[in-house]
Amino acid sequence: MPNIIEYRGLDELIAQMRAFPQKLKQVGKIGMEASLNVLWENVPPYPTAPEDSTYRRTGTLGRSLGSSTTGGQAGGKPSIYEVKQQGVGGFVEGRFGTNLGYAPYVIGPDEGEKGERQAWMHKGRWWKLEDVVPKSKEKINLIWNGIAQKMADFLNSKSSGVK
Amino acid sequence: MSDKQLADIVCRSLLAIVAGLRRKYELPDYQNITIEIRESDSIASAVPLAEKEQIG
Repeated sequence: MPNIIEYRGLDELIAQMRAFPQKLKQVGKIGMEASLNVLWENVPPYPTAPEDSTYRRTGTLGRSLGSSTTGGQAGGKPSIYEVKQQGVGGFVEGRFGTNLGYAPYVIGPDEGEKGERQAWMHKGRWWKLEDVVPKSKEKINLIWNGIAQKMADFLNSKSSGVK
Repeated sequence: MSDKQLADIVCRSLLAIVAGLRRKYELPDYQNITIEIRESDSIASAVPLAEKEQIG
């Protein structure tokens, strides 16, 4: 089950913007890419290794999230980083995450099917991917407020005949 | 051969190719863990609140 951030209150604007599909697609893409970027920059660093650990860290998990052992953005994009249309006639949705097989054992949720939740040896030490959500919420909220304003300004300019 | 049979053969072939590549390059299994961002026009939702953050 993915972690989900839903933004709401844009229904009327989106409905009016459907008369301008290219513009709607453009602003949706801008907003979503900016939102995914916020999630990306909020990837935490690796926790301190246990004192008695002999495991040599490779940074693979961090790289799969477009990050590194020190957190934040580093190197290439996350393995899951996409913007797409939300269903037929829908607006836009984004996905951020990792497709690394063992990632759920390390940064998965507390609850879930076996193999999809954080393993006991990582609890209390490793963060969970869902922890990125509250860190990002405020900034993402600002982004979508800005997008709403862009759409409103655009619609106003169209209705008043201003180009 | 029906379309379904052909589709089955294609899928099995692709899975075999994937398995071979994974073995050859020692690639891990792929299992998605994601955060999704999307627009909602409904007040109620089937997704438990603990798993969903709402903004706006």
